[in-house]
Formats: sequence, C-alpha cells, structure tokens
Amino acid sequence: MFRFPRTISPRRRLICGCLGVLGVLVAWWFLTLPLIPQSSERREVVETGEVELRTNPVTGESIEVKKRETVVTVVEIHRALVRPPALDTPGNTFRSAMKLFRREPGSNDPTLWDHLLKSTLRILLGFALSTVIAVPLGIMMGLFPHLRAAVMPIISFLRPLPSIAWVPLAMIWLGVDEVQKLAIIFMGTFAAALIYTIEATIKVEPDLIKAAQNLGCSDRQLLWRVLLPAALPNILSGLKVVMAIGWTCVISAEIVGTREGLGALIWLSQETSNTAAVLVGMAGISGIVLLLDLLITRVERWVLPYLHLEEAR
Amino acid sequence: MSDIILSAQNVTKSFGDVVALDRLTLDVTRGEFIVLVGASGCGKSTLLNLFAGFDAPTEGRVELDGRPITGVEPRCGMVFQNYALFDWLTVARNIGFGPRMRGIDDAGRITDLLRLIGIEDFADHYPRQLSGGMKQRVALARTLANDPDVLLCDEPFAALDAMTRQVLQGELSRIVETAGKTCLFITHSIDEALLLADRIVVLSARPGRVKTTLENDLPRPRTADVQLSEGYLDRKRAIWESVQEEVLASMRG
Ligand SMILES: Nc1ncnc2c1ncn2[C@@H]1O[C@H](COP(=O)(O)OP(=O)(O)O)[C@@H](O)[C@H]1O
Ligand SMILES: [Mg+2]
Repeated sequence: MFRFPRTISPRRRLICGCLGVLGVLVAWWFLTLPLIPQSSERREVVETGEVELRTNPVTGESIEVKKRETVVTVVEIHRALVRPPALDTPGNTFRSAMKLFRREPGSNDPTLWDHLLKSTLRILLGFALSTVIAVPLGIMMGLFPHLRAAVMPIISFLRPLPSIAWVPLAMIWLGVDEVQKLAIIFMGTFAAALIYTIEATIKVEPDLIKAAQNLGCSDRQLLWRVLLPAALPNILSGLKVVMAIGWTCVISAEIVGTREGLGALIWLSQETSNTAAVLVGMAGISGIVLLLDLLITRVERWVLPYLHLEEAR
Repeated sequence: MSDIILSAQNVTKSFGDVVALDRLTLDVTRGEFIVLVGASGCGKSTLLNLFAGFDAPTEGRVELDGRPITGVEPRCGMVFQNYALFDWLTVARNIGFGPRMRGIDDAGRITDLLRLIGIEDFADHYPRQLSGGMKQRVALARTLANDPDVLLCDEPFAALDAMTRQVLQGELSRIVETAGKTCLFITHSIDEALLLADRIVVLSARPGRVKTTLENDLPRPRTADVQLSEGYLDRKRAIWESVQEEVLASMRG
C-alpha cells in the first residue's frame, strides 16, 4: 500500500486534481437535484356547471347560484436535499454569479470588478505599510539579540490575535472609514511579516558572515552586500504567505462602513441570503490570492534567478 | 622581520565553563604548511578563529608578524568546510568579492585565478550549479584573490568524496607552494596530514594543548610511491598512536 517514491507524474496530478473538482461539482449538482418525492394535497374550489335556486333569507327572492365544490388533488412533487436560498443548482448559481460582473440597468450597485479593485487597493496598501515597517525592523531584530528580546514579548502577544479581533478597537479609535480598514489589515499582517523576516535573518549562515568579514568587508557592506541578499529568498517566501494572510483580513476589514470590496459583498449578500454572491465573493478572494502568488513567484524568478537553477549533484 | 609569522603564546580560551584551549603555545614559520590534528571538540576551530581575529583569547597572546591580532584579520584568509560561498553571486563575482569591497575591480586577476584553479568555463555559473569539489575550488580562489599571507583551512575537504579530495589536496599543495603562502590546516585524516604538512601538530583532548609535533620531511610531490614507503607508514603509525590516546580520552569525557 505504501510505495516509494510517493510521487506521481504531472499528467496524473492534473487528472486527479480535475477529478477532485468535478467530484465537488457533481455532489453540488446532486444535492440540489429535485429527487425526493413528497406528496402534498392541492385544494381547489371549482364550479360544477350546474345552477341551483336559492332563496334570499332577507328579501325572500329566488336567485340562481352557480353550484361549487371543493376538489382535492394529491400532487407528487420532488424536492432536493438542499433548496434555495441555502443553495441553488450549479446552473442557477452560475447565472446569478454572472450577473455580478455587469451593472444592472438603473442600479448603482458596485459590480464584481469594483469589489475586486477596492479590496486589492486596500490589501496592497495595508500590506505595503506593514512590510515597510516589519522588514527593516525584523532584520534589525534578527541581528541584535537585545532588540529581539525587547520586542519579542509584544509580538508574541499580538501574533495570536486574528484580524477580526482588531475590529472593535479600530472602530472605537478610528471610526468606520478607510483608515480603520487599513489599520485592520496592518495589524493582521504585521506580526507575521516581522516574524518571517526575523527568522530569515537569523537563518543566514554564520560562516557566510565570517567569510565576508574575513574578505575585508565593512559592517555597512556586510549588511547590504551579504546579509540582505542572503536573507532575501526567505524574506520573500515569508511575504508571500503574509500577502495571503492580508487577504484573509478583508473579511474583518470590510465588515462595516463600506459597500465596496469582496468582504463587503460577502457580508451584504449574507443579509439578503444571496448565496451565489457570497460564493462569488469567497471565490474572488481565493482566486486573487492564487493569482498574486503566481505573480510574486514570477517576480522572484526575475529578481533571484539563481534560486531556480538546476542544482549540481 | 622575524621568521615567525603567526604565533600563539600561552593562549587560553574559555566559553563560560568550557575551557577550549589551555595555555597553548604554537609558532608558525613563514611559508610553512602546518596541519593540526586532534579529537573533535579539542579546540582546533577555536584556535583558527583566534588567528583570524573572529574571537579574542581569554588569556595569552595571538600575534601576526609580531603584532597582536585585535580585530578581524584579512591577512589571514579563511577557507571553510561548507564553502560559505555567496549563492547570489556568480563564480567570478564570488572570487572578486574581497577586492570589490575595497573598491578594486580587476577582471584580469579574476581570470588568472579562475585559470589557476581550473574553472575558467564556470565563471558565469552560480555556486549551486557546482559540485562540492568545484565549490571548494571557488572558495579557495576567493580567499586567494585577497592575497592573504596566511591561509587558515578548517577541514576544507571533509565533505568531499575521496577521489575529489585527492585531486584537491594535490592542487592545494601546488598552489600554496607556488604562491609561497603560509598555511594552517585542520583535518581529521592522518593521510591528508601526511600528504600536505611540513609539520604536523597533534592537540590533546579538551582543553586543547600541543601534545606532540612531528616534522614531516617526506619528499614532495608525495606520490603513491611515497605513500607506500616505509617512512610514510612509520609516521602514520606514530601520529595514529598519539591521536588515538586523545580520541579515547575525549570519548571518556
Ligand atoms: N562560540 C562558542 N560558544 C560556546 N562554546 C564553544 C563555542 N565555540 C566552541 N565551543 C566549545 O569549545 C570546544 C572546542 O570547539 P572547537 O574549537 O569547535 O573544536 P574542534 O574544531 O576541535 O572540533 C567545544 O567543546 C565547543 O563546544
Ligand atoms: Mg572544528
């Protein structure tokens, strides 16, 4: 059962991946398929076509009244395991999702593009802010144990807090405008960015520093020409993870005070039980993280070409 | 200038409670190839770090050309066991690193060094594209580019396979001899010591002191014939017996 090596060819990996996705789609389709028979009674009052003579109890007049009767029919209807609005069929969901891409005539609701753009701007700005502070600070903390010892307790306190934990404080201090959203993304990513940078710096091989000093480089040269390039690959792969963490903050950042952004789309659609829109918002977050990841990897290949060379034995 | 280029006088080095070196005295003559052998943990690397100026002795003096070594000493070039190459620089730029840090960009000298160690074709390769033997060649060239007076080699060939090691031992011998460098070389291999050394210094188990010194006047080049000669085997036996006691002592703690 367990064989080595436990790897498969890229072709098989692709096929298995497609099967997995297909499996989920089939399960969805099946769950929303009207399969369960249920009988229900339908009552209808119908005219029989006959006419009856009745006497008006007040006036004593005779009037003609059409004869009626109640007809009870038993109808067999089929129900799905899961019904709208909990979950619509894949087809219907897809059609509702498509509607989000363009603006309905006469409506001023933001389209999916507006949501994507707004969230991207917020995340990139918040991410840039926390990176600009965390990376230099992290390198310094990696280099100076005293500074590390001084700052680490605070970071250990901040790190376990999920971004949503910052929402109340951010609202009290900053209100509900853009600054509050940036602050949440900043706080949600800062500790992680810092810790990845510290680790990357500490991991730089001591012999590398010794070699550089031995070759006669000054402290300044050591920092810029050796420590930084040596730590850069690990800092970058850390920031890739932090970027993804930044996107998870979008849900907490856009919980109040905005109609735009993927987070806002998800929260507002939840209020109207628009399952399709909630799903689109979620897929949007995943999709853009995957895309940005790919982009960063490309940039990395370009900035650090040596990392992707064929290794010798 | 005296004939002694490097010297350690009554050097003690402790790390907290651990005494790594205890009143060690060693003089290295200019142009000499000294090989240090001794049980692991006996303070060989510590001694090299003192000579390179990475660390200061707790007591005693370390001197280069009669002057105490106070800071990192670029005239003592270091070669490391795990190469310590700069992954993000090409072979040529690794070799040119030292001069470049002093503002010198001498392409001609780099080409000469590439030729000296036989890796002209790999100038534009990155370290991770090279085999271990190639990497150590580059590291040696990088150290030589700074034209140090002394080469400090801390088990530079220990990670290489036996065949590559033989080739590099020959090359190092040739380069050090031609350039007239002084060399202080650490190894675990008695054969390597006998192949390279003018003088072999056996250190005692921790705390390290000089236990015995053996002049190694076997004829050079030390070919297979030399390695099978009576004199070679006698010396090998003598060093092994001396080292063995210390290894056993260090294993008993
Ligand atoms: N920076 C250090 N801090 C604490 N102990 C050290 C340090 N460097 C070396 N030692 C200790 O000093 C002793 C000698 O180490 P080392 O010189 O590396 O031995 P060798 O190179 O002969 O194997 C060892 O017991 C080692 O644990
Ligand atoms: Mg050692």
